[in-house]
Amino acid sequence: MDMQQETQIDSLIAVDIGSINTKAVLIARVENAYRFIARAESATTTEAPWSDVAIGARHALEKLSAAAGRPLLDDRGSLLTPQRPDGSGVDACVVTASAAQPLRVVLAALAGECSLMSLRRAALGTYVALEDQLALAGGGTLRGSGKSITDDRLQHIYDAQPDVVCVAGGTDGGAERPVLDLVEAARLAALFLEGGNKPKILFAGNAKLKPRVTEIVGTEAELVVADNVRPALDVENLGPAQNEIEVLYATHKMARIPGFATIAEWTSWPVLPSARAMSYVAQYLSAGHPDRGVLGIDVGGSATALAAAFDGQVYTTLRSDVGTSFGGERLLDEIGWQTVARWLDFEVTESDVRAFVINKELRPSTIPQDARELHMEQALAREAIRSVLRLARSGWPANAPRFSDTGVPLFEPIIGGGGVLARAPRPGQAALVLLDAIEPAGVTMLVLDTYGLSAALGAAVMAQPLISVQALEQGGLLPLATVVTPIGRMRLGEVVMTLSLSYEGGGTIEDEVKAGSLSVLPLTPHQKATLRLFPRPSVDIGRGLGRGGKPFEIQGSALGLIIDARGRPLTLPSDLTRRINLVKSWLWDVGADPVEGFSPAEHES
Amino acid sequence: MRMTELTYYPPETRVMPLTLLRRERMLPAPGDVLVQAGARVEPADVVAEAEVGGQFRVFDIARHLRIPPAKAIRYLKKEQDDEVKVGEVIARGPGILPRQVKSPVAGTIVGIDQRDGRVVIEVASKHVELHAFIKGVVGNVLGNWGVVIETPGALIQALWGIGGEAYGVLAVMTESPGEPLKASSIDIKAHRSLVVGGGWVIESAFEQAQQLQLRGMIVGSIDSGLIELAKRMPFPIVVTEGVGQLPMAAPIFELLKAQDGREVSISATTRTRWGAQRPEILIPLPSETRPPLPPTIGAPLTAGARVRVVRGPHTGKVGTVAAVPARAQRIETGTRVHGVEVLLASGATVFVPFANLELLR
Repeated sequence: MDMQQETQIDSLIAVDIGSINTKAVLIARVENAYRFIARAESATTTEAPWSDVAIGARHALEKLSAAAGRPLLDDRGSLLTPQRPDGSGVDACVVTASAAQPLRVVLAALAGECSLMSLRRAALGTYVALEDQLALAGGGTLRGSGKSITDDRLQHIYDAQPDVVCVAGGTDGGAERPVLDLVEAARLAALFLEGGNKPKILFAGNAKLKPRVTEIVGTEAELVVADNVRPALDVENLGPAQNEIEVLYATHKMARIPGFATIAEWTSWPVLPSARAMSYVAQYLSAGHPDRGVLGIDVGGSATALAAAFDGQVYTTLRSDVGTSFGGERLLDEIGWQTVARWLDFEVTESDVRAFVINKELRPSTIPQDARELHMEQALAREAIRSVLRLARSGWPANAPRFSDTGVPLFEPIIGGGGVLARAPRPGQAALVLLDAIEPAGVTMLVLDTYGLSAALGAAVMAQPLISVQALEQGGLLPLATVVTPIGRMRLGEVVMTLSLSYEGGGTIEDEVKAGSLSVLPLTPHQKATLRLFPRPSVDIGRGLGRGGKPFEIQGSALGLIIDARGRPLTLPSDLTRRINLVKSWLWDVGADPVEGFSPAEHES
Repeated sequence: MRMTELTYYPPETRVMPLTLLRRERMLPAPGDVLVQAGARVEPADVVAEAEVGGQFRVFDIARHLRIPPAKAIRYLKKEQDDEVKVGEVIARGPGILPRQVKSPVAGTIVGIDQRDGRVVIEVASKHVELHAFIKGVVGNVLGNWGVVIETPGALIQALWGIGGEAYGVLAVMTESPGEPLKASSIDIKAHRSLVVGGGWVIESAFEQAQQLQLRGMIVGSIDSGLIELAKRMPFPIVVTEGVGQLPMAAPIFELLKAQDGREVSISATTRTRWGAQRPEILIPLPSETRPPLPPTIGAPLTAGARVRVVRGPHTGKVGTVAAVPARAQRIETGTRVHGVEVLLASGATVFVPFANLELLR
């Protein structure tokens, strides 16, 4: 590994093993800069009858070989490394994965509103299934069902058959006895669960108790101790516990993907969870920009991940139970089918929506073939993102840059990834999904991870940081649109802002923005323009009420400039006909109506 | 940046009139295998049995008796390693009208927590019998875990199911693969049989099915609104195409129709990932020669292959691959995708994205 790190890397392959597809990307040094050369994907082969993830990876590499015009595999199907003088093979390979079963976790803490919440945030930083949550007070299963925690906590842990029981509670030097009781319950559960079912115990509570926790657990279970997630009532410290949970996921779940050992041999670096790799990109882009955050979103087949980074500090939140192929029914049960249906430009029944999500789960790799199915899938993606955002928001730091005096964080850029966004036939569709789901405020940039490179770029940092930096600069991500979202007291139909867009090559567009409107002004990928905004006194674009401030120098993008004056929070009419007409008009306004197709991927090819 | 799609390895569904069916039958825990290799077995034959235990129940005696935890154990009426029966009093509190804790399970007391006033009972083991499920011959004995049953027969992989396993006589109740299964479709001849309906199942058919004590139901599709009702049925339901109103794929319907009146075994167990499992229909058949096992999976899609369309306007239709165009084509959504030209039974040729196809063989 050290040898390889010291050696110059002229070419690198990044393999991302998703739950549905395995993607492979080739990055190589061309004229002293790293560039994307080609990518390919194939179905992931985790399940029977394949039961070997290496098969799907080889299929993807065969395609990549053909696309790049250079052999990458030897006769036995192993990766050719290092790169040969004839151009075949590659110098390095990095691997990311999200295809493993999530880690089954039970959380036990003292207070639902405090330590349990922090513990939950720590756990949701990687691919976990929350089987049960126990709290002495305020939230958690037992409290919710009206029982006391002393009732059946051990039974709860036993019944959940978790991989890990995470225990927190007590500030450092604070509560002791009730925390130790929780540890004891976890130990007993481990005692009665045999062999491979025996859970590990992660303790991330009162630091003073570490020796006694070690003593209580003894040899009954594998104990992992992390720093307290709540060392003080007003201090949250998720990093150490999050890292330990991720290690447990990597060793107990990811490493057990069938065929994983073969893939692991291709790389000199650890296989990273895909969401972690994506978070590195958000983290990198946010460093040195204290005035704004960076938001990365990946809507995958079986999980939805979100990484919010503020000045180099990243907060990752995942729902491993909700994606575009798996978990649709669960989401419908949580939020109601009408919440998904509200984003559709046609009438549907509960039966239609449920049939859609069940069939998608039964045939997870299929793609929509008509506008109706496409819009259903995109509606589901909106709500998947919104559900993760709801979980994530409370964990973002209080001092994160926010839109004026509102609670809306400022993000620039917002990076959207995952098949449903990357394969949106028209850029307007991807943009509208992101706008509806995130409801950004102020001036921001939407970026599309068209080729599913976020994970690759994040993982490539391990091999050679310069690869990620140069590949990002070389346009690895597709600029989708610059978005301006005025906020304030706005009456539907009244003019809330005027603007002028002066193109570098000459010509100016001047326009009035009316409350409730959604519009797009053209600014193609290679154009530049100066944008001047003149909000009315009751309206804010992020610079204070009525303040336009200095002009914005903006770059062109696939869609151009979107002015989203629909208001925050977005509200949709309860009347079905009015709602359908409104959604239709939004689709029309951003050119998301799939009449004449446009595929960002095709556009860039 | 270039991207090409040269080879596509599609998902596969087996619809085979004659192959060698070989199924493992495994106990949930080691036990006794009651048959030997070479023995002929009927579906209802018990081929292995075991005592399965290892479940624990925890009782908070202190809470139930409403006394401090440290005092609770003194009111315990049982000791460590004592056996308890269902409903037996395991603790009785103080006073004239004492509170009692009764065990809801039969088992053995394996743990007494003096400090916290808790008792742990290991639930008594349960006798489990493993049935052959398929009419055939015991091919192998898998130690003390189970057996492999073999038989020549037809194999149909379905898509979705509810319930466990069943076996019985196949009774095809509809004339065509698109005809829904209604109450009136199921007549008295179907009594205690496994019925087949080509299209989707109508709600009234469930009541009729219960009255006629059906052993199972095989249909093309089911409305999502009926799934909860289907879960309450005392028999398994196997769906070949999906949720909605979809006709059964013609080759599946024709194969079932050809075997009308034969004994079949169905498994409705469905798991979509992390150990994916598809429901299946197994029809043991007499055969003078030993047919080959199903072909190994992993064939790339080529011209001439039999395929089924699994999404989009032609969902459920079966045809053959007429051509594999090198260039991507635009579909209705506006996306350009790679795919194949499929010659359908109707004579029409349609373009179908790779992702929306499966190999049928």
